[in-house]
Amino acid sequence: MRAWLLRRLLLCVPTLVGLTLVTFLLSRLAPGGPFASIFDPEGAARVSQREIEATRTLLGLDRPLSVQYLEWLRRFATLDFGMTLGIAPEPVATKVGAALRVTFWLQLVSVTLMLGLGVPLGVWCAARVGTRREKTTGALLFLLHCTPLLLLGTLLMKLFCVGPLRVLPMIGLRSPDAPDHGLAGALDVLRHAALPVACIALAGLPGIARYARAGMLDELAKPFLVAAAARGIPERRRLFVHALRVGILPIVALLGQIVPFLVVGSVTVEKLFSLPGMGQLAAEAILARDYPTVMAVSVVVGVAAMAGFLLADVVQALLDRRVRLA
Amino acid sequence: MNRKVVRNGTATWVVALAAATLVTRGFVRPAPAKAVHATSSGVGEDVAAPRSFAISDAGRRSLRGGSSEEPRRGGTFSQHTSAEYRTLNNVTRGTQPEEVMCRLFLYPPLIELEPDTLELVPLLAADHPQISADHLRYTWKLRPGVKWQRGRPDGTPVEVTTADVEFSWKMLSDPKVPALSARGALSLVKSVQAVDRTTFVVEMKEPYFKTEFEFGTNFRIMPEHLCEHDPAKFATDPLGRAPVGYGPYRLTTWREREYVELERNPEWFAADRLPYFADRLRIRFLTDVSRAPDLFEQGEVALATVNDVSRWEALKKDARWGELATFHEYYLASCIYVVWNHAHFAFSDARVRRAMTLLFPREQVRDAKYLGHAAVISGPWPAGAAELDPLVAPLPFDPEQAARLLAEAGFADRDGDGVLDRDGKTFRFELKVPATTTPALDAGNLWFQEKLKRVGVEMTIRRVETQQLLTVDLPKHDFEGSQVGWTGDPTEDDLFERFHSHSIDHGRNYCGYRSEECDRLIEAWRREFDRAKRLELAHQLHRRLAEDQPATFLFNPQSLVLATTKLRNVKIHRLGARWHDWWFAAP
Repeated sequence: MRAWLLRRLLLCVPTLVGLTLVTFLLSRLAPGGPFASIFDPEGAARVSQREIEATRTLLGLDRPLSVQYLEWLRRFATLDFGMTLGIAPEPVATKVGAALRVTFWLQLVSVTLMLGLGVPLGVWCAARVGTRREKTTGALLFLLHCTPLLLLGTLLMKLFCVGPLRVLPMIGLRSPDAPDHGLAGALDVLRHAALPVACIALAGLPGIARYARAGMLDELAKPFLVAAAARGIPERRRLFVHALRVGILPIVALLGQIVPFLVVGSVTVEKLFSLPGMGQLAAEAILARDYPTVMAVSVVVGVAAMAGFLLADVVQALLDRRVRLA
Repeated sequence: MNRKVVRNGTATWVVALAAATLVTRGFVRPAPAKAVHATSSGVGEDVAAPRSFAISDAGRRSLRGGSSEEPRRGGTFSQHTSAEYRTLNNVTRGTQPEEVMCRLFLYPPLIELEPDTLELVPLLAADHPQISADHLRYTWKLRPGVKWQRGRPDGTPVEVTTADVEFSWKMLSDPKVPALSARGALSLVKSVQAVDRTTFVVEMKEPYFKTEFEFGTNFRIMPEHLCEHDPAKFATDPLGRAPVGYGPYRLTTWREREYVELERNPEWFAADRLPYFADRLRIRFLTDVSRAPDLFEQGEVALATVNDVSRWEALKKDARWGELATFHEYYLASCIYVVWNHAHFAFSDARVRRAMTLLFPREQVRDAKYLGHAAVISGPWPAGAAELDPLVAPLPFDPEQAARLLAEAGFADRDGDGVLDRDGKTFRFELKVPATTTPALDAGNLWFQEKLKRVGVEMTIRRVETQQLLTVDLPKHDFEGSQVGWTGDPTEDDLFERFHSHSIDHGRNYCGYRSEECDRLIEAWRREFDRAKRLELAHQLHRRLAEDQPATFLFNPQSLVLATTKLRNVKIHRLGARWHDWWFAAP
């Protein structure tokens, strides 16, 4: 197990380098440059192409791509992500750190809710398979699954933020007039986070429930559980002690996707609710061609993805001896 | 400078009739009588002065102010902006939201346009500059006694002096400082030198009638006593995030990607003319402008822009919204047009370009898609601009005339495939449109496509990422036809950048338009210091462009703004929704 883990960890290094190389090339080969936002005929600024070229030289963007990449890699080796690109540079690490905090907590609560509701719902559906209530629940979950996140968020917003039922704030993470600390501050953050969390959790809920249902149905059909039922072992024990342990394995495999989800953030939700998280940061950085930020975000997401898949494999191996042997 | 301003315009007989009806419903500012110019349909264009509607009594009170409600200080004025500021360093700022914040609230310029008369009025300058006979030397005098909001570390207050001016010029002109926008705007300035504590001299490279306006509104000043003096480090100076200015407000809070908050500067030097009654100002960053009305309904902003004309019309009909808001419609100096690449085998011919304009159903799109909230334009200036020759009307939608012109240009369907051809080349082209095009314009493009098909021209529409279009395709002339937008100066927008042949490779003459007469007229216009003569030159330019049709000028869209009924004395100036003289009603 230890050798296997070490091998997996060592494999992460070339994977990460490959990821950074691909991201670097994709971002640099995309058209435009970091000054496009002010080189805009619809905007106020009159920036000549000559000025843009001069500034590109100033920032070293005219050097060969290989030199730029190696320079970035050298810095990255010392965990220096550099400064943002543009007219007002600031440390990339600070920017990413601030966005990461927002996204991490938001996604953690959402994922917890998603799992906390989705797994029991899946188990319940498996236990009541074929009944009218199960079919209705399945149809509702399917409908929810088919609802685009943007539509779901907008509906929630229309329901709770505007119109007669105006109980929750629409955008941001804090009210300008709310205190930064203390109970009142925390409550204010909770009110702001309620809809984004609900939106992410509801969007992921059908998937989790369907996975849990499928896993449980497979298990419940196995002879040992049929025999257990015949022997009169109570349903709760069959479900939660015998079936769930293996039936949950597909969900564990999903952990690999859920961990990067914790740091990636949802561009749609963050944009819709104007939240300063990773999703929005990544989208803005890509549009602004802020290469150092794009690279930092991809590294964070890449590391999280690798950690997620590794964690999923480890947990699966611990839960199922067959995986370990394989 | 804030280039988003309102054009005064020409009222029409039809609109005047409609306006008379609206007066009875609370139309508060009838359009002044202006010149009428004919259009294809025989009626004038709706380019009236700003219009404000109040549906409820609360709204009417809000618009009037009234003698019973005297101006009062207090309240937090909140509005939204489309993007977060990257910096509030006055020298390196570049985007429009940054410009508005710096120019209006933190670092007012030397001189500015009076919001209603559009005349130049000294602000930080004590007076208009003294100009040498050759128009190359401008002597400016700073208003004495204007203090920076933060003095020296020992607490000594510091005034804005020519030391700040010289320092700012040094930074601005240093290539190590990424002051792209500032250098672009001040490219004709040769030097800036202090004479004494309040007097400085600006030397120009060439005479240009707009120098007072361009320098006075675009020169940016930073506090020499607080700033980083090393040009290489100037852009990263913390003052970019915690600005120290001398304007009506000072920044207190900046929550990244959420909002900034400012409080009134008690030492604001121009409070007599620009009183700014609100104690606090909050600006929300809202990239998705379509949600501004929702934010307004929540009470999060006191002023909101509506970018969807259908929603605007629906809100105007909603009685509940009548209690919440007053409705304001006005024109900014912005234009939308299609540039034709003159290197294209068909668009090199002025008759073909003219046919394209004749085939774009502009009036139909204006009425059915913009719901009347746009004006059809006939030239590169917004509708109603004095630079437009009143005798030049926008070309009508006329497919028959277009077909005749195409035939004259040698196009015919020789191979019977339903598409016109000439010299073995079929008339197919691609229209590039930015990804951010509005739904109204999108629908208009589809109509255009259909009209073209009927005369045998095949057009495909390609949405291109805005960045790609603006920074690669257009500057490299890599397009056949492309839609672009332009927001010009509030007065006498200069065409050099867009239609002078020098700007084909060094500016934004994307279509590659080359006309000796046009070049001569633009150059003469820039050197002419007599406004009447300049207007005559502008009219000649307009006639030339209308003849050559280097681009198909489409629309001047209207700005639609909601203001809360809690505000009093709400009026839209010719420069737009400037709220320096609005105040909140007593609670």
